[in-house]
Amino acid sequence: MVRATSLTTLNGNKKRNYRSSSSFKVATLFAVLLAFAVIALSISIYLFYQQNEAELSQTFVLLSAISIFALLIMGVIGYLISVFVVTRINRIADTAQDIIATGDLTKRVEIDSRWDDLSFLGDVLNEMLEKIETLMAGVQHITDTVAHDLRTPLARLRNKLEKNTQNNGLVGREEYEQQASLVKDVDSLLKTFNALLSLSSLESGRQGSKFEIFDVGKVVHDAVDLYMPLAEEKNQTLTVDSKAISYSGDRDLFFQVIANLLDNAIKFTQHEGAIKITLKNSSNAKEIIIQDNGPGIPRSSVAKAFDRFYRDQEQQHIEGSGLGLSLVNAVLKLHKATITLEDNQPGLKVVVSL
Amino acid sequence: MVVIMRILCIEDDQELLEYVSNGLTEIGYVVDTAADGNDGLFLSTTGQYDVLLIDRMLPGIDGLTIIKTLRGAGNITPILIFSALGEVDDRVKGLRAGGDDYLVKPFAFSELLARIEALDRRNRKSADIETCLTAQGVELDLLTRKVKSNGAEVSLQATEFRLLEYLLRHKGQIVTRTMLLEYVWDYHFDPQTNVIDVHISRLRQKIDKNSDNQLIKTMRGAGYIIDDT
Repeated sequence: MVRATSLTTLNGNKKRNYRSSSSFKVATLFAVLLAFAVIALSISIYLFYQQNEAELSQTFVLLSAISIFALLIMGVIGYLISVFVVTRINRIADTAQDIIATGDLTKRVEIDSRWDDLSFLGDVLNEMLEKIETLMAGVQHITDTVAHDLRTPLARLRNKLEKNTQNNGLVGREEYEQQASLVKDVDSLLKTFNALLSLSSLESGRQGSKFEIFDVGKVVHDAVDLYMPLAEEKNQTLTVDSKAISYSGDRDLFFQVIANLLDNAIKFTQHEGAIKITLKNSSNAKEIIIQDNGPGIPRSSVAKAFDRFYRDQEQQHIEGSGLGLSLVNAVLKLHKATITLEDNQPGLKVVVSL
Repeated sequence: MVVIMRILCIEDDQELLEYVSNGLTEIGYVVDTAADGNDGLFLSTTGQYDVLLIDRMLPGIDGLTIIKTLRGAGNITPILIFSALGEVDDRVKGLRAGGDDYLVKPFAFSELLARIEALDRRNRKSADIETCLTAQGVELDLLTRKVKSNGAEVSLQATEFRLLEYLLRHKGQIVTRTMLLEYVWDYHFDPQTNVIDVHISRLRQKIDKNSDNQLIKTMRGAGYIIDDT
């Protein structure tokens, strides 16, 4: 690995002496050139005031030429150095900005030279990124392992509970109800773990080679069909303005996205509320817009809404794992689509741009 | 005639293998087991089974290769694939290789049982084509797409019709919510709320209107069933 070798060489000379640094050498060169120019200039000025005709004509011209030449070289070198420095600093800044924007810790500062201090800085920054990446992967791995290893015993527990419920046909109704509700609790735990695992498999890009061309309009229609009774139970109106949008992606995952968004809209919007889904298919924008007239999301919470396990303080009474929107976001990222949460005045407007 | 179902389970996780085989034996099925791919392939090609349960990852010959080999040799025994993680790719690969159904480990025993019964039923039924499904005074005509409950016509929406059709086709068996999502709606996903329950309760309202007893029964923690009486 290239990165690994650069690390080992770096570790050798971690604390660099300022004398060995290239900037120090360039600065010394500058100082020498400057000294040359100053000495040459002062001699020529001294000679000018001596008014010695014969000496003036030769030595004066020579010294002036030397000083002008030295200044010229300084100017050219200075220009080249500033270009060199600025491009490298910009490169570091660009990489940092990229990582902040995408959260992709695999990005590295591009390094094309070995001798200068900025490359050294880049190397050190890359080493730090490497370290951060490893640490993040470690955290992710622990979460995955916990979720994965807890799933099997949980499933076993569930099966034993279920068996108990079926075997004890003679026990009282109340006990049966209690056991059945225990099974339900374990089921919801399992569901959360499953959601966590599929979330991390989505984020690591392990999932998703099942891309195919499908009609987004059909998927939206099917999701509405599935969720319509849920909305009707709350006397909400659920309307669709559908259009055919041909799209390449994972159909099941996309159904999950629409289902989660609809589920949220129905869950958080009050009785007799209105939910509207609009599909837009124009040359410059393919969008799915889901609007409701519920309580919406406070501006301060919009950024946090996609975080794992985030749940609005005021909505704690509503059932949910806090993973729904994280899943939506992960699936859309996989499809290189974006999602924004806007104020519907009143309510929430979710815009998915394909 | 009572036919005892013969099942072969190929699974390298000893604990799961015992669990599945004990559970199924308790119900009255005959279960053979194999702990690796080589034994599994040998048993599945030489024995007569009604349903095969095959783990995707196996020591020796892997699950998909066994399935491909069996199918290549013209063996049409229904196959249920087990897989460790619910990666969609895995499911697609498994079904493409010739598997009939797919279950993600760990699974609830009731889910396994429901799927085994559905597979077995599908296998036995494929010979005769039904045009009318009936149970407890409810008739569903697949040609005219009309449903009658105790003689009176019931008007169902397209989804409700498909839901009832699926339940009737599997009458006498437990049908899980996941199965309904996969076969009635044709999507593989985990709903956050039990949206299926709402559909069932609506269907019940329509279908049980002229009847005293409930056609579709809820099996707690498992799913739904239409009794075969």
